[in-house]
Order: sequence, then C-alpha cells, then structure tokens
Amino acid sequence: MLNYLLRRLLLMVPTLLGITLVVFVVMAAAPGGISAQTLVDGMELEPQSRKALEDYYNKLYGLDQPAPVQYFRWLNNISPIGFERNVDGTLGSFSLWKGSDLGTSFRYGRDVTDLLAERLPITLLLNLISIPLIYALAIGIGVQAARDRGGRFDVSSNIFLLGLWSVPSMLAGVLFIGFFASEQYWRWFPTGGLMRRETASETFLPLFASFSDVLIAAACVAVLTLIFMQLLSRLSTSNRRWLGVLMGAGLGYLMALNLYGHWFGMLHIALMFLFAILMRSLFGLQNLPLRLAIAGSLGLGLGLAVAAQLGVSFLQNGYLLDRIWHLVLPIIALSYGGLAFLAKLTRSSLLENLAADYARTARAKGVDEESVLWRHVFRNSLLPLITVSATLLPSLLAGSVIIESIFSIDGMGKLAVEAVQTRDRELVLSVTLISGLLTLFGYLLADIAYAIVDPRVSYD
Amino acid sequence: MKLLEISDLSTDLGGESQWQSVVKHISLTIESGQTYCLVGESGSGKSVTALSMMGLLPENKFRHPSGSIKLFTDNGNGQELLGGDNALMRSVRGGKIAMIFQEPMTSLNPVQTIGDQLDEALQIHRPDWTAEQRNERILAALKEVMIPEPESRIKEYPHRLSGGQRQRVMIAMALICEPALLIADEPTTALDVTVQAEILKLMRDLQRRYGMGMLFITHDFGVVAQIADIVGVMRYGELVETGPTSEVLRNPQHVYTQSLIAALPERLPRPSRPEKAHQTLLEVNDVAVHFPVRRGLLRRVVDHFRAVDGVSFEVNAGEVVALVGESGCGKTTLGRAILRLQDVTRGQILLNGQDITHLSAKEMRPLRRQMQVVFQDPGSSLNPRLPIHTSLVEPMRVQGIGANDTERTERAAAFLERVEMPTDSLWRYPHEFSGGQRQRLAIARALVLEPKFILCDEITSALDVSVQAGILKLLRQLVDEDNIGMLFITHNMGVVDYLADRMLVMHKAQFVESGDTDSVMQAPKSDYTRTLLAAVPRLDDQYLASVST
Amino acid sequence: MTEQALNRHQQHRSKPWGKQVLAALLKRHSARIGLIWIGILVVIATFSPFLASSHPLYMLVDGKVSSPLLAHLSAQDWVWLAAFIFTVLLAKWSRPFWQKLLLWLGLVAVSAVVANTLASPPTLIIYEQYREMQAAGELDQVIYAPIPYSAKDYLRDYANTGVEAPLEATERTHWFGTDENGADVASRMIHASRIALGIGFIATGIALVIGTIIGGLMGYFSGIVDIIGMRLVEIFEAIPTLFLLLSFVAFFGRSIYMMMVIIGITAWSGYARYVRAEFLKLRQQDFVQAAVACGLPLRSILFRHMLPNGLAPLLVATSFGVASAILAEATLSFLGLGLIDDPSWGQLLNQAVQSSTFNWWLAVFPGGAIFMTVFAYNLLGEALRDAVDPHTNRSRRA
Repeated sequence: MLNYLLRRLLLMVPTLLGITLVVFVVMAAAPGGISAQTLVDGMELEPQSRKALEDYYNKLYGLDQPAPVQYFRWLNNISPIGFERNVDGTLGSFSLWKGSDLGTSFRYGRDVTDLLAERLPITLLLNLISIPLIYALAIGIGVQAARDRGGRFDVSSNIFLLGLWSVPSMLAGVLFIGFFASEQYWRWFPTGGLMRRETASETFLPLFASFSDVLIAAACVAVLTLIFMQLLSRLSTSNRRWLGVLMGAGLGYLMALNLYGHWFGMLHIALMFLFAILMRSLFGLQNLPLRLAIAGSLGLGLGLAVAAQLGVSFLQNGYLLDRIWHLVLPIIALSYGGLAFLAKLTRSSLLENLAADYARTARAKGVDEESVLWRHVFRNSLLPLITVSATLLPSLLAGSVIIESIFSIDGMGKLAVEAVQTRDRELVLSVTLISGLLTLFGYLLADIAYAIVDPRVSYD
Repeated sequence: MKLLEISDLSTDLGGESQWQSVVKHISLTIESGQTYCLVGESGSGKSVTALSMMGLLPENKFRHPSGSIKLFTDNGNGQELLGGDNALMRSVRGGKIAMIFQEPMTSLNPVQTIGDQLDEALQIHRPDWTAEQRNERILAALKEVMIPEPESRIKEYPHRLSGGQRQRVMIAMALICEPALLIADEPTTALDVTVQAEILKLMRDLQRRYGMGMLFITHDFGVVAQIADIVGVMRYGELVETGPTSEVLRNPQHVYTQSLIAALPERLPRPSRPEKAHQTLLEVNDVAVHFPVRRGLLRRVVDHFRAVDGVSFEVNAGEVVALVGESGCGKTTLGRAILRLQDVTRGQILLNGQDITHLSAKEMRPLRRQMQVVFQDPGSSLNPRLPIHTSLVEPMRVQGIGANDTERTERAAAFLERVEMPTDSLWRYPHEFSGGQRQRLAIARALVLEPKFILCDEITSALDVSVQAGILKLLRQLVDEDNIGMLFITHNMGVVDYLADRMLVMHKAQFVESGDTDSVMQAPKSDYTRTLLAAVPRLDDQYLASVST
Repeated sequence: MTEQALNRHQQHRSKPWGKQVLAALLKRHSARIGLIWIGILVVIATFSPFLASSHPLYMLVDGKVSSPLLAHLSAQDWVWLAAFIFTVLLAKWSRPFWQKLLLWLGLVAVSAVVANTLASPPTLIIYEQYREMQAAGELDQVIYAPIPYSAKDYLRDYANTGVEAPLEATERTHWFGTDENGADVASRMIHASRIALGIGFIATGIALVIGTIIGGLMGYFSGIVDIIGMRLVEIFEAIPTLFLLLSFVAFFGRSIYMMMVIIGITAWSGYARYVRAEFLKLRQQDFVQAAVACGLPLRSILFRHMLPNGLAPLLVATSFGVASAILAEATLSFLGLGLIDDPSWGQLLNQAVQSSTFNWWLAVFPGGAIFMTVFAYNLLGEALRDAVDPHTNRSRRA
C-alpha cells in the first residue's frame, strides 16, 4: 500500500506540471500574451511614465523575457528547492530550503499566498458542508426509490431528479436571489456575502432579550415539534395527506400575504395550491425517519415564528445564525445538482445489487428483505458512490465559481474569474495549481476509500 | 419417509400482460435420505421449480395457476409452501430447506467475512444460541466440508478462496442449520471435473450423515450416474419420465430421454475412419510462454508466470488431436500461441515445415489462410453488428479468394450448406440464432478460407448435449472429407473418446501424457490422467451394464 | 434455390443494431418528449430569421414588391437552411449511417462555400425604417414575421427603451419583455437557439472525434501509447474545465468558432475513457481474435469490428455531452465572457440580476429555455442507456 501511495504521489507531479503548462501556454499564446503591455493598457499615462511603469513591472515580474523562461522562473519560484530570488529580481544561489513562493498578484499587489489563505477556506467551507449533505440526502432518497422499485415514488422521483439535475446552477442561483433575496419579493435571505459587517463584533450564539424569552422560545419549539412528530407518526396515510394539504395551503397563504399584503389574489391561490401539493406528498411519505425529520424542522421553524409573535426577540442574531442565514441559499444552489446525480446513482446501484447472486443466497438463508438491503447490499452499493466522489469535488469547485459570482462571496472561484479577466499571471497559475492539486488529492482519497471499503481491492 | 411432495405444479413467468408457461403440471416426491436428480436441457424449467419451492421467484413476475408443494415435518403433517406468508417462508428457507446455486464466484457476499456469513444463518434459525455455541458450530461445519484451517478461514473474505472452496463454504452455509432437504442447482457445472468429483462425493457423504433429502438439478448425465437415486427428466416445463436411476439410464422409456442419452458423445455411433497418409501439418517444439510479473515502486520484473513451460507435439493432416486439461493448465494460452495471437517466449512453431514463430504481422497475413480458429463462447464468436454475409465474405476478400463479391457470396452459401445451416442465414444477424447455430456459423467462417489446420477451443462446452452431438458429428465429417488437421481443446473425456485420434493431457503448463486416444484411455500412465478419467463416468454400454439397481 | 437465397433484396433482412436501438428508443415516452423538444428547437433555429425579424417578409411600396427579409438573409442563414433540407432528404435514404453522415458533411461544406461567396446582404441595417415608413403611411401592404423584431433591433425609434416586463408597453407587444438594451427578448431567444444548438453539436462533435481517436489508440495499442494517453487524459480531467474555458476565452477573445473548438477540447477526456474501456474489453472478444486470425487489416479490425461494438456507451455519453456543452456556453455567456453582440441565453440570464431590480422575465424565459434543452438531452441520454443495455443482454441468449 505504501508503494502505491508513493507511486500515486510521484505521478501527480507530471500531471500538475502538465496542467500548469497547458494554462501557461494558453496565456502566452493569447494575443498580447503576458507582457507588461497588458498591465499598463487602459491607464492614461504620459509615454514616459508608461515606459517607467512597464520597466518596473518587467523588472519585478520578469515580463520581458520569452515565455519559456517565464515558465521556468515560475517553476523555480514555486518549488521548495531551487534558486533563490533576490529582491531586484535576479536569480541568486541554489538552496535546498528556499520554500515555495507563489508570487505576487498584479491586480491586488499582495502575495498570492495571502490571497489564497483568505479565500480558500471560504470555498472549502461551502464545498465541505455540501458534500456530507449531498451524500446523506442522496442515500436516503436512493434507498427509498430502490425499495419502491417501479412504484409511484420511484418513477416520479426519477423524473424529478433528472429535471433537478438539468437545472443549470446559474439559473437556480439567479432565481433564488431574485425571488428569495431581493427587494421585490420575499426578503427572507440576504443578497450576498457571507456575513453582515456588524456580526463581526457580535457573539457567537444568538442573544435573547431576557431569560424568560429563552424559556418561551424553547417551549414553543418543543411543544410544536412534539405535536408534529406525534401527528406524522400516528395518523394514517390519507389523514396525513389531508393535514399536509391544510398546512400547505396555510403556508402558501402566509407567503403570499407576506409579499403583497392584499387579502386575496391570484398569487395566493397559486401558492396555496403549490404548497398544498408539496406538503401533501411530503407528509404522505412512507419512510418514518424522513417524516420525523420533516416534523422536526417544521416544529423548529414554526416554534420560532410563534415565539416571535409572542414577543420573544433576539438582541443580536449572533455569528452562528448569521452565517447560517447567509449560507442557506448558496449551499442549496451548489448542492442540488450533485444530489440529483448521486440519488439516481444510489438507486441504480442498489437495484443492481438487490438482483445479484449473493443477495439471492442471503434470501435463501432466510434473511428478511430489509436486512438483505441494509446488511448485505448497502455496502456493496456504496462502491460506485465512492468512485464518483472523486469527480464530485472538482465539479463542486467549478460550481463554486458560478455560485460565488452570483452571491458575491469572496471565495476562490470568484478569485479565479477575476484573475482570468485581468490576466493576472501569478494568480492564474497559482489558482490552477491549487485546484489541480485539490482535484488530484480528491482522486487519491477516493481510491484509498475504495480500497478500505472493498476488501477485494488491494494495491500492491 | 416422505419429505417433500409436489403435486400438479404449474408456474407462469412474465409480467402484467405477458405470461409464459414455464412449468406445466409436474408432480414428484422426495423421501428423506434420497437424492432426486432433475435433469433437462436449458429452458426446461428445472431451476424455476426449485425456486418455487423456496419462494425465491422475482416478486410480481410469477404466478402458480395450479398445484401445491407440501413439506412434511416430523409429526407427519404436510405444510403447504405455495403462497405461504413471509414469516413462514423465512423460517423454512435455510432452516428446513436449504439451497445452493451454480456460481460460486458470485454467490457469496464479497464484503463480508466467511465467518459472518455463516453466523448469520445461525442467528436467524437458532436465535437462542450463545456466541460460543455458534462459533463452535461454524468451525464444525467448515471441518465437515473439509476446508483446511477453519479457525483462520472464518476471518477471510470470499475472494481469497478458489471456486471449489467457495462451493464448499456454500454447502457448509446451507447445512449449518441441519435442514431436512437440500436443493442444489447445478452446483458443480462451473467447476473443474476433478473438483466436481470431490464435491459430489462430499455431498453424498453429508447426505448420508444427516439423513436429509436432496434435490439435485443438473444437465449432465455423468453427474446423474454418480449421485442420483431417482431421476426425473424435464423438457419444456413437463416431467416426461421419472424412475430409479439404473432403469432410466439403461432402459429409457420416453423418446426424449432416449435421444438425450443417445446424444452423449460416448454413445454416438462411430463410422469407420479412412486411412490417412502421414503428413505433418503443425509441429510444435519446446514452446514456452512466460508472462512477466511486476512488483514494486518501479514495476520491475521480479518473476515470470509460466503459462506454458516447454511442450512439443505434432498434428497431422486428417487427424483430430485432443488437448485435455482443467482450467489454468495453459491450454488456451498454448492455442493462442500456435495461432500467433500470442508471442512465445521460447521454442518453435512450424506450419507445413515453415517456421512461423517470429514472423511479423505482415508476413503472417498470407499464412493465416492456413490456420483458423473457432472459439468457445457462442455469444461473442461472431461480430454482433455485421450480418453473417459480411462476416463470411470479408475474410475471403482480404485473402484474395474469388474474383468478385458475387462469387464469394456463392462460396459462402455453399459452406453454409455444409454446416447444415439455411442459406438465407447470410442476411441475418447473429443474435437471431441459437448458441448451437452460432457455433455452426463460426465453423463456416473458419472453413471459408479453406484452412489446413483448425483450432477448436472448447467449442461445445457451452452447449446442450443434443446440440453438441450434432456439432461433433459435423466436425468429424469435415476432418474426414477435407483432410484437415484439428487441435481440439476440451475437458470432456466423452468428447475426446468420440472425436479424437490422439490425445494430449496438460497439467500445470506441461504435458503429462500423450498418445493414441484408445491406449491412453484404457491404460493411462500418469496419475493425473487417471484422476481425470475417473472423475466423471462415461456412460458407455460397459458402464451401464454395471450400474446396480 | 441458392440463386434465390442469394438475392439480398428479395429476402427478409433483419434489422441492424442501429435501427433496433432507434425503435426501442422511440417506444419510450421520455425519449419522445426529448426528441420532440429538440426537433422544435432545430426548426426554430433553422427558421429563426423567418420567425423573428424586423424586416418584413413581403412589402409593397409604390407598386414595387420586395422582400427585405429574404434580401437580408446572411450566408449563415442560407447554410442552416441548406443543412436542414439535406437532413430531411438524407434521412429516408437507405445507406449505411456513416456514409450518409459523410455525405451530409460534404454537402454542408460545399453550401457554406457557395453561400459565403454568393450571399451578400446589405451591411448597413436600419431596423427602424419599416416602422417609420408604416407610421408615415408609405406602405401599401406589408406582412411581418410573427415576431416583428430582430435580435439586434434596439428599438431606437422609440425613446427611452430599456428593460420592460412582458406586455408592459402598450404600443408594441413584447411577449417576453425586453432586455436592458431595449431589444425584444423573444426574438433574442429565438436567434440564440442557433448558438446553443450549433455549439452543442459542433463542440461535442469535436470532442467525440478527438476522444475516439485517442481512446481507440490507447485501447488497442497498450503499452507506452496507453501510458502517455492516460497522462493526457488525467491532465485534461484535472484541469478545472470552467477555469480552462475562462482562460481560453479571456485570453483569446470571443468568437463563436473559438468557443466551439475550446468547449470541444475540454470535453474529450470523458469520451476517450469510454472508448478505451470498450476497446480493452473488445480486444479480448472472440470475434476480434478471429478477425486477427483471418489476417484482416488493422483498419478493418478497428473500424468495422471494434468501433461499432463499442458505440453503446459512447452514444449515451454523447447525449449527455451535448447537454453539458450547451450548459458550458450558457455559463460562459452568463459570466460575461460570451459573445458580445450576438444573443445568447446565458447573457440574457445575466441581465436578470444586473440591475438593482430583479427582472423575472429575463430569468424565467431564457433560463427555462436552457433548462428545457438540457432536460431534453438528459432524457434522451437516459432513454438511450435503457434502450442500449437490455438489447445487448437479450442478444446473448445461447
């Protein structure tokens, strides 16, 4: 195994070199290429100041040298072993402890390393929250669809998931911002960024006005959650469906009321209808754990709303809540595509394994269908999910680019777009390197995870 | 004592609007301590019958228009199994009736250890046992099926075991709760003959020890002769004949049974063979094929896997030489090396006196006309996307046979007639034909180039016995008429007996015996050959006369 | 009897694989829906100048009949029309598919050359003149296209045009509203369908050709070719696609042909993997071995025996690939890196959130078009997957 790891890590190096080479070639081959020209273009300067500025940039970044030399200089800079670079830009002596220097960004004038250190955690935050969410939901839906096998849930969820997968993430982002975060429609969520400026000085958890408020809020939430859990587990399917219709209609009405304030109108009817159908199908689900989860979230939301009506208020929202409030829309927009894909994959993998020979052997032993699913088939079905996770990270990173642009979140994706738009050579190469590195690590992790889960696979 | 009684059982498979009758009104009785063998060709409905007993047919895709299956327990009352509820069926499965299947390689859960899988059966049917009791029983079960070192085996995963060992584990898993009836659905078909012989003996021993009844499904009469007390012959869902083994084998009553037994290669009539002038066609001298094994960081070659390790033989015109061996002995690799589809590491191959061992692809091309091949799997022997016409005409065109396509098409049609296929097959696609027909088409493709030498690699192993008989007769005819030299790779001694003039026995990359078919089969010199010959009985007249009632 | 048997035209010919897959495909509802939408889109794209144009189709002024619409048809418009006609004509012809494809490509290329030399629409286009003439009463008879606005008609004769909701303006009807420059959204959407379809097909075609060649070489000749090829595939897979696209477009400027080539170059690695996997499997198949044993030339083995059998996963991947190519183009336009003046669905979507107000018609309609197209191709891909798999299972009956 160790040999295999070493081989993979060694093989990463030529691939990374290849990636950066490709991007560098693209930049160099472009009209105008990478020269000081493009940096000073557009500034209105006297010819002399212009020349001085160009010289300055050339000295600093070595932009007057031919492209291959520039590439090797860059390689030299980023490798921890190499020639040291003196302050005036010339090459110094060879050293084994040079350390990596990713360079300075043209546009921002700061060290690239600093910029990345600022922005990378944000992108990682978005993606790392999305991944477990995607997997948990996808497995839940996939298992339910496989159990249903040809029934209504299965067929309808299949089409729904395919449709969900087809919605481009920019459309979803735009619709989210447009409808849920704008001035004209429901202003439930913020329009962008990751936090409001005030929250920097706020406490982590929300601050209530007084202790009794906490008690009231907790009581409301607890009571409502218990009520919903009882209702959703005890009532029969058709009763639950009626309950769903009523609640949905009520919610729809409240939403429309929130928007326009009129007593009644077309919008009210449309929203009531939409939510009635939605809640009806959610409440009518056969899966008990899913229903309890829905009951829990309903209880929480309505409990807080009721508590707010009763006069409970937050003094400060607190860092945690504010972050969550800002993250809800971007994460939903980022994850729904991966969710749809994984859910379908889970379903097909489960169905394939449920028909496999070893499942038949288990049934012949007298194992009941549920245990066949969870004890035998489930782990085998996870294998393609793990293989796919290798490609999930890169696609999420790509999705971040769009989402961060739409929601004005200062992450790596947004940085990448800006870097490319301003032809910032150092930044572009560094971002390429980091994303390539992350992607290759993703592949490696997926392979290792596969070897752990599947005892048949051993890397020698 | 009566153990299981099936009365007038019918089963339809399919779905909403397309029901197909697969089992039609069959009745049979199995007694405890007795082995009932259900014989039939593919599609006869034998597996479906077994699955009905266990209630393992796919949900919503089956129905039973008539019949009942009754399991008799100790107190003599019959428990109706058809249409039983889930709880009943689950207690029966594994507890009272156990089943083992055909494919040992995929029948065990690859991500669970052997011990866990055996334990599961005990947890379900012996819920009040403690962990130590279960562990004891598991080790005892593994010892019974003669798995060496059971203590360390229970922690291993299935992929570490060979096919034969996995089947033993399956048997252990089936018998661990001491069921009254064991159903075995072609459990040895996928195994080598020597392994099959061992497993059959094991099952017989265990049956005697536990006094259980056994329903054994197979298509192989050799197995029937070894293991069955009562035989039932199925055809297209009907039970056409049933009776004690010795009677059915010696004196079959139904026409179908008679044709099945007559189709066994050892019983096929042998016309006299014409005298042949001795003319060496293919000469193989000390050929070895080694594959490098790479390990380590830099993938250095540390060792060589010796697939073929120094073999020499000849094939003459007009004779069939059989190459016999079990899986992994190197016979397929040797075949491919002879055809120059695989490079040889050492040695010489001479075709008609010409050394073809190291010729380049370009130099080989005109010579390829003289050597052709027919493969084992009818599903992949013909290009599914091309009509038969193209598959036959293209080689002729490339090798320059015939002046134009019309002439080539006529020649192709003539060859189709020789292999007893209708000429309008030319315009059809392979998937429209059955397995046996596809093999005939593959033989036709080999013949169109009028080769001097044909390699047949287990070409009838995947076919039913009656279909196989037709193809074997055809091959013998072709060899005699056209003076072709043939190397026939097989593991079936009956086929060797019928078809081959000489035989070579291969074991672990080398030949352990060679000579005339008759002399080798009467008086084998090597132990391995003896084991092979003893593994499956050949139902010739001598044998049948000796089968006791 | 042999004579009769040999007459191929008389005999019953069973269906080749391609036709069987097509038949199985058309049985499924999802495939039909997908194909219908794609068909509608193709028709809209081909006839877009006739569907949405400020130039009248028929105009009678002072007794002179003229058709400004026909006069203003560009070379591109003629080529699209020619391609459409060729497609309809060739569809029914009964020759092998690849022959028809090559012939179609040849005909389209010829017509492109012809159109570029012959067609010369006036370079200076004044959209407002017809409306002014109509207001002045100079037109005796006039027949407009169903949507009487061109994609680039910014309605300069009306003052103060800008973003308007659908049907908000009273003196003119904009079914889908107008964009921030005042142009009619419906018209822009119709003309943008050309770019979407064109990029979808051509980019995927390029990726398919590159991927098949490299993947086929890797799969057939293993060894050093495979090692180098896999490194190439890994590099192109590991580069964040969007990022590479951004780099290309930002550095090379924007032209539709550049975008097609670039999207194609970033997508080939997936197809290469499929072809390589299939070829590795096929190399071991008996009929390929038999073909080698017959001495068939390499050309025939690769293209007649291996490639047609490896097509199944490739077909499925292509359908999904076209969807992702269209999505890639829309994303680029959305990020502001698409074509500047030519309309594109992504660009319209971008305008939805540009200003401080949310212009829902710029999000719903173009976004809906993107969604429907991607959904249609995904449905088609899923249906293809089902149509191809059970077929191969069925055909292996012994």
